[in-house]
Amino acid sequence: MACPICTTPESVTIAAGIRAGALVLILVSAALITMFARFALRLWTLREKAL
Amino acid sequence: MTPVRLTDHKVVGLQYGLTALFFLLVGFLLMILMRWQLAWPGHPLPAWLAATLGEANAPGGIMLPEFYNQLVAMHGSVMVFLAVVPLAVGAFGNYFVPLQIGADEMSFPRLNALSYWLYLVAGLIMAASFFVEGGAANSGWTSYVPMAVMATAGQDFWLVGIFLVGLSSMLGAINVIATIVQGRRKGMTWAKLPFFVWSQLVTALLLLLAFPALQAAAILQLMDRLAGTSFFMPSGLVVGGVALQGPTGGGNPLLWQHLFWFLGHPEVYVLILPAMGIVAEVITTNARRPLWGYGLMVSSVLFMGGMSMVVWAHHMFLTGMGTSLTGFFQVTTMIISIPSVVLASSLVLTLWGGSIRFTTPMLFALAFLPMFGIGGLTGLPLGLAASDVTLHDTYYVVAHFHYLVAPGTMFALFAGIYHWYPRITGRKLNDTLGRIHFWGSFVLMNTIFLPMFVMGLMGVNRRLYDSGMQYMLAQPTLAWQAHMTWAAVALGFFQIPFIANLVISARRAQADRQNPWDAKTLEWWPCGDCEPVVRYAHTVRADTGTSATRLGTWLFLSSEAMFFGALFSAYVMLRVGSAEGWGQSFRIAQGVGGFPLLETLLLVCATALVGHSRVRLMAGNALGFAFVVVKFVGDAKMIGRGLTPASNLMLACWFTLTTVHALHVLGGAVASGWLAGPGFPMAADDPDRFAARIQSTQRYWLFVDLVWIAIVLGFYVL
Repeated sequence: MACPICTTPESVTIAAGIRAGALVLILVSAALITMFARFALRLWTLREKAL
Repeated sequence: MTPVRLTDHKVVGLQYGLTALFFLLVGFLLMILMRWQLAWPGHPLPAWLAATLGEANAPGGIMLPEFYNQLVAMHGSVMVFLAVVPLAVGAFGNYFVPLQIGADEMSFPRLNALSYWLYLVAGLIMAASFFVEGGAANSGWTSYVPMAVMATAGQDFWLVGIFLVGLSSMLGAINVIATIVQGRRKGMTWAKLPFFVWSQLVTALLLLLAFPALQAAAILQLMDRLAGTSFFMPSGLVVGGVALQGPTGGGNPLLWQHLFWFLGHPEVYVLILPAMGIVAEVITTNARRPLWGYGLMVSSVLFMGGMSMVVWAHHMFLTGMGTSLTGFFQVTTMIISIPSVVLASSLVLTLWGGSIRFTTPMLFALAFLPMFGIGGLTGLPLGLAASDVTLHDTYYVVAHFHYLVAPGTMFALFAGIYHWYPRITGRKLNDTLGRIHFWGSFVLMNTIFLPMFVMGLMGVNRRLYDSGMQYMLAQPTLAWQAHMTWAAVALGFFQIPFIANLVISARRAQADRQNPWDAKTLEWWPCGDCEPVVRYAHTVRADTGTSATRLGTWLFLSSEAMFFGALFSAYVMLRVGSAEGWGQSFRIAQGVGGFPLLETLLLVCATALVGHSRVRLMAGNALGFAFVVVKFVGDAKMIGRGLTPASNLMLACWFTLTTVHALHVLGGAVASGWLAGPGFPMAADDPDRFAARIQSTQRYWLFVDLVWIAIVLGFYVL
């Protein structure tokens, strides 16, 4: 049985807010981790370069 | 006598180490007080102790629940933020990372020293909170809202302290990463980096990206407490049967939990990864074998670091955040357990076929493995929502995370101290005292924490200050609490040989062999006539394609991006979750002010003016200050019309985001001004350095512009 207080319009809006906020955090971290991964790839390609 | 240089990485490492050991003692004593209360609830404390705590905390010698709550909150905060992490990262990282990669110093020595002093100030502020009215923070180390928003003034001290710890961590992390990337000696390729260095690298990345979320959350909570906003305060809150007056409401308590655990979970890896690195060093040295599966371990630690950023909400299954988020975080949690097992298994397999010496550091390192295993495996039921629902509020959780941190990470740190003490002082620690310390700690740690698993499975709640005297199910466990407390007291006594050992061994007249363990890593091999190390501070290193300054700037901006990302995630969570929707008509009705067009123009010009000419820099500096003045004139006009941060949530977001942004503009203006003034002679004396500074300032201004565009979109356009 569905939880009665979870299906009120207010609860649905709040839950949507939480999902959206968490998604922003996930997307920002994913973008930064991708940036670091790109840098790591560059380090890997340059690793043989003589100093 | 050579004067001590406070920017020397070894000095900073020692400063971190000694301060962290002091806070470790503080955290331990807070725990003893807690355990006294749990063992004998309602019984008076010994007279001298009651007199020390005072009538306000223990009237008639009986500890008040409010004071017990302070002990819980501060024990966790001190241990995590001021003791274990600074010891694992600040002390071991600063001292040994440069030595292990053959660098002569950290990339940014002055920032490194600043990192320590910020940490010390943060620690003193948090400790001072015990002496303010109402005492220290009392809402747990997680500072959950709305309780924390309504707490006494000690909570403000906690929030300021945490913000400074975050700044300190950011400076330290930038230094560690830049030093590893740029400071490696010729021949120290990525494939040759000791595993300890890899573990410190990933730890630094986590600190860099995760801590800003808690800093952002700390600012929002300070706003709730001091400026009357309601970021975390829901509508219709009733406390003690009385409707709460003051906050306008509409906020979301789960916002705090998301932002807190966004740091809080990676923080677990910040605690455990350096420990793994130390154990790897000690085991390879004492098993006299290279690390089994080095490549696999490095891949695992990197994967683990990345994944640890997307598992945070498994601490929040009880909040009813919905099946989609719950499902996502359960899956990521199960995935992250795989690299943990790979790391632990590789360390065990390293022992296979080795010629093992059971030295004191090796005993601690070997004990770490099963302790970490117990702590890790008991975490799996907590990562699944169905079992977490029953276990979450019980002592099972206390046992689980203490197995990871107390006999887990702490044993690794002890191993590190015994292992590297000869490298620091030239003298080995006394072996007999070390063994007494090890066996006492090993037996007593398990005596304290093992029963907690059983108590948790019996359903005993972990948040009760009287150990659950009024609950039938807790009755059989009341006697265990007393045994656990005596074990904790005995554990304290078994640390005396350790402390005595540190002092006595350092004072011994005769030095030991330079490398008493026959260790193979670089820190044990002094390099008298090696060619000097190039730091590539402002020049590009061929095998990285960057300079330390450029890399440091990018790292700083990444951390800033995460900070503003967290603030914007709060904005999105509150806006999408708001019944009004905050559309354009709502914003106009609420009178969002400011002068966005003028401010945009000032920012763009200030950014464009950053260059090599003194006049341009001075103009940029003036425009930056003008932006700040215009912003605050706009604020004053709004406040004059009765529109304050406390008026509603949308205005709270607007005031907070624009003020934090304006402070960043001020930072840019100061940077431009410094380059035009005291820093300008550098243009002639050291053109490379000056050019690097100009480039960093340009990038900073561009970042500030991007944040401004997001603010304009969020509050004036969309």
